[in-house]
Amino acid sequence: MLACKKCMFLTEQEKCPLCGGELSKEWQGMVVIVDHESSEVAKHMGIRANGKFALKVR
Amino acid sequence: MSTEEQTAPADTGSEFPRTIFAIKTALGHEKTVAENLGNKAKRKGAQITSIIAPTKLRGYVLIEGVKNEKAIEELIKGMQYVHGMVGGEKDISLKEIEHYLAPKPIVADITEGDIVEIISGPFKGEKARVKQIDAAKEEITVELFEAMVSIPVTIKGDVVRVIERDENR
Ligand SMILES: [Zn+2]
Repeated sequence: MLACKKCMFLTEQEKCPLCGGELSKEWQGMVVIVDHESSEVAKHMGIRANGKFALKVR
Repeated sequence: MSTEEQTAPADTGSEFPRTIFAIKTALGHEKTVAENLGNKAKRKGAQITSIIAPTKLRGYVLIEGVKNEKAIEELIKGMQYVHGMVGGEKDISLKEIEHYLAPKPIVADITEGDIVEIISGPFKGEKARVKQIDAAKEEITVELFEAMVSIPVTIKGDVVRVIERDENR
């Protein structure tokens, strides 16, 4: 699994399906957003989608 | 975000507060638990909004959602690598876990003396030693190895990858 350098979305694809950003294999931590509309964590991180995100990407 | 937003319990439409709490997991399986729990919560329509697995929090994952202990116990029952809910009355506030969520400055992992490889821009592929770090600007000043005269070059912290840590730091 790779993480998007821009939006931190975790994906198996070659480009970030959310923002088209470049991917990195150097990432750490994970947050799984189940309901981004009512999640304070998603709001805090500026995430506007459900799915898996890294907490840190290099 | 205002303090009010962080402390006021959201209206969950139930008698239980929406909060953050922890569950205990097997060491090294935190991310797997977060993924599985996310899928299961979605499938079962559980009142969970996010699951957080910070690297530094070993043996636990954090759940953001409605703290209905019975419903949570039911949800995690039989799940691989899950050791149960962490008991106690105390809930975790967003403030307390913010440091796990805030993206760390890119240069935080780079130290003066480190040897880095530049991965993009005009110096792509060059190796260099880090001379100075400006965390606020997320910039680093490096000395290129290949240059005849070592002229310090200032570049963005995200265009390098550390290939050797300075052991004497
Ligand atoms: Zn992205």
